[in-house]
Amino acid sequence: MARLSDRDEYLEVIAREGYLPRDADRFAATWDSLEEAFLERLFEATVPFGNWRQRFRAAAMETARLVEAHRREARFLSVDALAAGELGRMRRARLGQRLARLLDSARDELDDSVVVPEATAGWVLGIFFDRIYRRCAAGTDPDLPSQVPELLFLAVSAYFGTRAGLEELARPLR
Amino acid sequence: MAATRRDRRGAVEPGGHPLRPEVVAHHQRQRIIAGAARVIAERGYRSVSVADIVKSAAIARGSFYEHFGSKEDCFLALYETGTGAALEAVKEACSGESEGFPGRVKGGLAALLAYVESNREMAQACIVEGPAVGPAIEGRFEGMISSFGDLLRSGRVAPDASELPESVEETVVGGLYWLLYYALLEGKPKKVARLLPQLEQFSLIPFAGAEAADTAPTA
Repeated sequence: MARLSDRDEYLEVIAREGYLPRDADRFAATWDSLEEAFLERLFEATVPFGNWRQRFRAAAMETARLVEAHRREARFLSVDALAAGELGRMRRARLGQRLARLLDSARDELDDSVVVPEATAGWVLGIFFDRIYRRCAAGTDPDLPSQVPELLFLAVSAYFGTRAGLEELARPLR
Repeated sequence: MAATRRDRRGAVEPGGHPLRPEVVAHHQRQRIIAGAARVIAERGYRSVSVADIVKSAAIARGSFYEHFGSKEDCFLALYETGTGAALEAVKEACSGESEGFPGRVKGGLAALLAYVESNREMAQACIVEGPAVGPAIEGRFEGMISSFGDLLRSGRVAPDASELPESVEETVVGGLYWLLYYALLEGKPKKVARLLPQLEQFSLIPFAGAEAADTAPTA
């Protein structure tokens, strides 16, 4: 039988026993490798697209697919890490800031007259994180890809207005 | 000096009339919950023991176990107390029929932030520490999001809102929840208060558009 990698072994330990301070180094190493892998997948999924809405759609769908295909890893990042105290908080804040910068590039495509609230990227991250958390914690929510149009509607509405957001609901999933 | 009589259970009130046991028990339970909120908000759920709660509440260890079977049991009671009180405050604030949907949403959000501001330890314990508790909290978390989501449902009368997905209210509430979570986690009280106009925008835009968010009376 193949031996589990240290990361896979730790993912099983933390899911079973919760975060323990004695495992701080393993937690940090696991988080850092998963964060880099996730951001790399987002970059690969969005690079073919020219405008923000296309890139955002691709990133949202890739995230949803990753959550479904790699549930243990998604659970680590969204549920188990919440109990990891300052270590987990720092890493979640760092990932949040990196994603917020990507999201806020939508502002480059807005007219100068449009004022979008400062916390918009945090709000968009919040609606996505909430769905991922609930999917991974209880596992009872509908599968994430089927929720993507609703999430796109809310996110695009926040940056580009309700009419633009509603277009996302009418668009077929890919 | 005022005379004070003590009965055999040790519960007295000024003037010497004994308090009913259920009143004493209720006050003691509330005292334990407040003590738990204080110490959990300060140190985090995982780092706190029953002994820490007992010390924070200034009660005997045996009294703790008269009310709760474990730390988790105590936290679940704390969570229901805190989220229940916040929900009641929001419900009351958005019950005004004359203000229209945007006005009610603004009133509800203002009441929520006021609750968070004036019950900081309870809010911190419920919002920040709740998700760290584990499987026992998951059903309650879902219930809390769903209860707040129900309050937004009256926004469906807006012209653009009739075709929205069924779960959009819960998704909006979920987004608000995690924004508050991060604001509280940073420990900057002013940041929470500054969120109000932005929370109004995020809550209203999906249902009534940005114009309604900008023009509705602020609570």
